Amino acid sequence: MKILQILARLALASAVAASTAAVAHPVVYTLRTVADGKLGNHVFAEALVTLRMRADTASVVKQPSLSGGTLYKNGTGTATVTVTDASGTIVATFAQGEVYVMYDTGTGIAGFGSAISPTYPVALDCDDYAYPSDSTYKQDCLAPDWHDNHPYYNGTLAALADPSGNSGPGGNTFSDATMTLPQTLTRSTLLTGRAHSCATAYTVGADFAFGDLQACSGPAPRGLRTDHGGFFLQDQIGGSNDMNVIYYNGWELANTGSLQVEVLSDD
Amino acid sequence: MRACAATLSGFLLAAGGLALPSPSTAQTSIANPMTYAATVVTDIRIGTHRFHNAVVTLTFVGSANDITPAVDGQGQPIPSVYCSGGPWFYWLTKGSARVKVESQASVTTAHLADGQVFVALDACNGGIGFGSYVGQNGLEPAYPLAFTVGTAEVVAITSGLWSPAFMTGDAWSCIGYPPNGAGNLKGNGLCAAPDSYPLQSDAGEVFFYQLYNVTTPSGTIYSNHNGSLNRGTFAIRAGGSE
Repeated sequence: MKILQILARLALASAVAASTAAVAHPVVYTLRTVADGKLGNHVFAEALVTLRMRADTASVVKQPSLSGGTLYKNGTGTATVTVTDASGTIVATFAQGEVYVMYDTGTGIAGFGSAISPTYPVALDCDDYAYPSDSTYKQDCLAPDWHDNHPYYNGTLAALADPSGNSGPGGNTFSDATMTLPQTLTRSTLLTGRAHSCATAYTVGADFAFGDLQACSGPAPRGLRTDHGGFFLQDQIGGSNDMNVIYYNGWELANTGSLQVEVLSDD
Repeated sequence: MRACAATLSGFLLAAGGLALPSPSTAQTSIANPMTYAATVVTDIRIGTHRFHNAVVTLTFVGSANDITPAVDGQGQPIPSVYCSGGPWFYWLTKGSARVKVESQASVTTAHLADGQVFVALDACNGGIGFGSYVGQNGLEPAYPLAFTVGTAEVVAITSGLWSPAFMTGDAWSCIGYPPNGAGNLKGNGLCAAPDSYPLQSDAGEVFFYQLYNVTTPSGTIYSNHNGSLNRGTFAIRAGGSE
């Protein structure tokens, strides 16, 4: 009798656990950066760009990624883009299904993807060097930047993806708060890194620091559809800054970004 | 690449009980108004409530006419260890500051008491953001929120605080900046917990936290520039509204 009771309790506990894992919560994905591009007829340079999608955690799909990690995506929701420059602020709503949120835990690349490219309009933590090589580089963001750079320079995404774990070159470590950041799109987290916003490929040139990619070579083949017209991003900065300043150049002077995952009422 | 020096560190040379600019109270009309706003996702405490990974926007409204070189107790511009000539360090101490916290679909706003926070610029090393009159030295150049590297460094070195610009960079909320010292400044390798250094506001005491760091094997912050893994945006707008 006691054994039956224990088994019954275990079965009940398992059922509760399964249902808890399946509980859906509203989630807001917000990527903040500074970028160059066009929204409708409005051309902007170095403007605040905020991409946001309101969705539900139940819509997150995951699959093994080619990099050996897990690729999380959420494309079911309402997505907007807010562009703020000196002339004001424009808020546009994307056509349904035009963009999605992605996070590849294997590469450590996260951002907003689209049918144009899984890493466009914005991806964080992409390789700042031409990959696989200068001569064969055709498409951006096929590899992460911590392959070629110390992960401790690049943000939380690189820290989480660093295959050497919590040690890093030289024995540097990351704070506990960093290493415990959730790595799914179903829990609140904060993913940071250098920002790439290029549908095509960056030009390849001098390595001023931390990468030989320069600025984005061309616009996307079409605008992402919004209620304010086509939305384009084309990074004009990238690693092209050679300021000959005291310490940093190139990609250290590039724009960065953060992707915040906020699950509502998940306290 | 040279060993890392401090961004914004020159401001600390003005501390130590020396004469600091007298911040004004709120102004009814501002000539040549400018709005400076930093946004970052981080932990912040207002009163007794600590928000985790909230969207924090710190906004400061002041006049570009009031941006001045940061000076020492004798009224002399603070020299730079790494750049000749100058002045290199500027601040805007007169103005009003407020904090907006967005978390779990709610918004909390705190108006900071005048005279605690200033807009800070290091045009030598490329630092920009908000400093304050708190901490063990009575002055912190990168607390409550300041930025290094990224396009923030480009703006800091070129157009500075005087022209509209939008930028990104590594976000610091560090009591004890520069943690690794620079020149005559001797950091202890760490950013101190802010809990002993409240900023006063109409919503209670305010504390900014810095959670995402890189540390060396000895436990110190890895670098004065790259030690923080958080990233944020900084906006400079003409006019006096958000």
